[in-house]
Amino acid sequence: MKGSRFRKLFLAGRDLPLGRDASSRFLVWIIGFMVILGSLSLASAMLLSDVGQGWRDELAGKLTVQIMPEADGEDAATTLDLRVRMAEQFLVGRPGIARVETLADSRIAMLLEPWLGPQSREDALPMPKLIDVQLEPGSGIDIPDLTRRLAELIPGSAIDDHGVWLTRLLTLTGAVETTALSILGLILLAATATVVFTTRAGLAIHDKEIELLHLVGAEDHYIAHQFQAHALTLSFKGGIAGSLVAAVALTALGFIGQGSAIGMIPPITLSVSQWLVLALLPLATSLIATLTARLTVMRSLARMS
Amino acid sequence: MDRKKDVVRFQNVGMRYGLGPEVFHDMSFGVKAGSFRFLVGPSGAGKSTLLKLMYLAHRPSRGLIHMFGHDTATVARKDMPAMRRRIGVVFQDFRLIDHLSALDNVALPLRVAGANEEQLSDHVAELLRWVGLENEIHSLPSRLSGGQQQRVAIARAVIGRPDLLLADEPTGNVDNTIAMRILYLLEELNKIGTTVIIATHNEALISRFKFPQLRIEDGRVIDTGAETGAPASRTTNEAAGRGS
Ligand SMILES: Nc1ncnc2c1ncn2[C@@H]1O[C@H](COP(=O)(O)OP(=O)(O)OP(=O)(O)O)[C@@H](O)[C@H]1O
Ligand SMILES: [Mg+2]
Repeated sequence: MKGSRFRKLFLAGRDLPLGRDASSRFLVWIIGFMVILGSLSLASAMLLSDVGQGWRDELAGKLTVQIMPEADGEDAATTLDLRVRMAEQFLVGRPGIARVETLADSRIAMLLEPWLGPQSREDALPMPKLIDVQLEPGSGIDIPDLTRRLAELIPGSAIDDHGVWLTRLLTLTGAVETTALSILGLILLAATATVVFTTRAGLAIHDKEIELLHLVGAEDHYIAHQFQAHALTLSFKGGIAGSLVAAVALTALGFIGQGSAIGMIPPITLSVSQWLVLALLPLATSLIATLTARLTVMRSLARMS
Repeated sequence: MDRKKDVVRFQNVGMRYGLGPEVFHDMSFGVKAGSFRFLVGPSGAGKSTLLKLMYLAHRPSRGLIHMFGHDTATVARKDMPAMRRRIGVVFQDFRLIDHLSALDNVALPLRVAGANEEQLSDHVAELLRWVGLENEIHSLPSRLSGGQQQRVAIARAVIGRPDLLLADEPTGNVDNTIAMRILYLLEELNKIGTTVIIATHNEALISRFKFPQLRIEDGRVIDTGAETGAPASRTTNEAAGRGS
């Protein structure tokens, strides 16, 4: 009993020597490479989506109030401090505002250092003051109105809600993400086409045997089964190998990314669910290959005679 | 009502390959269920072609062919496998699958019909013993002599107990002793109900077994068993077999 079921499931239909065709080895490699490329595209898409989400989370509900220093004067610094305090007073306790924090000069200097270079304290350029404002979640605060009223009170003040910047970045990451997913789609399409061609080649190579199978009463699906089992085996082998290579590459990239502390770029690490999505790719590819082989055979045989 | 019992019935059948000359024109005859016929005619007369039409490998250029009472022109593609399973064929060129053992080649008709694997291999091995290949059960066709391959082909044709057995020169590559044995096997098969048609040049067999003949002459068929309307048994057909 067991023996026969086993044969039916895994060995059934070895009447056609498909494994001996040169296209067999070729298909394993092609599928392997495609799954590597596909995994990398998919991983980039998922990582980019994370990056976008990270920026959105971080910047959503945040405002930066900027107070520009007035023209030089003896008491420029004092005036600036005074205006900052006025702005703080204006902001603190306003409905919808959760927290107000003026950044220390040293922090601002650090932020500007990449652009201005290290400055000595004496000949320092007059630097603006920055106030971080944290809004309450879902505050729905009217930012243009707030900006106008603050500017009336304190000339030379400005509010940046990072909206423009964030929108541009998200557009960019979104576009790259779409590109990565399109590449994945194209890769799957190419894999499908490859299976169609190798299956057709197999049908042509084995036309004598197929004719014989028909003559002894085989139905089309009996023949299709052999091709689909073959495609499943090959694409599964290639897919698993490709997936492993991609996993190693992604892990290595993750390690390299950890070493270099680039502020804006988050670490290249995937969550468990993202690894699972990647693990589905070879399975999906095998499924596509199997169905493609079946459809190709059924269609070709139906067209014959 | 006679027609209903015809396993094979040709009506005004014409056949040509591509644009070539007509191999047959206007061929009409019937073969009754349970009969045994030698199909004879000079080389190139169209014996293999006639069998190809019967085992549904070719369509006629014109005319009607009924197999088991069904008009082959109107049989749906999906019903073809079932009809073909009722027909066992020994091809002139054997058509064994090179990479399958004798056992697997013979098992093929059962496997495509979804037969149970355990029962299958005993059954197949037994039949291979019957045709004298008990030592070659696991051999590949390339390791077998022409005569041994032919016996594998015969075993494959009869394994499914077909209603109709078509054999194209089934004794072409074997010595007379084995040829006789094969004929006896086919005769046994005929006795349990299989209609048998054997294309052959083998005069020794024809004169020894004296079954009626389907004789192809000038693209037409003459059935030496038809006049008497007699059943298949060779004793009753002895006279008819020699006649005409
Ligand atoms: N595939 C084919 N394409 C074109 N012509 C063919 C084909 N097969 C057979 N013929 C032609 O049809 C005619 C009948 O051939 P067929 O093979 O049926 O003869 P046969 O009686 O079986 O001969 P033999 O006794 O030599 O086997 C011949 O003239 C042959 O040339
Ligand atoms: Mg012939």
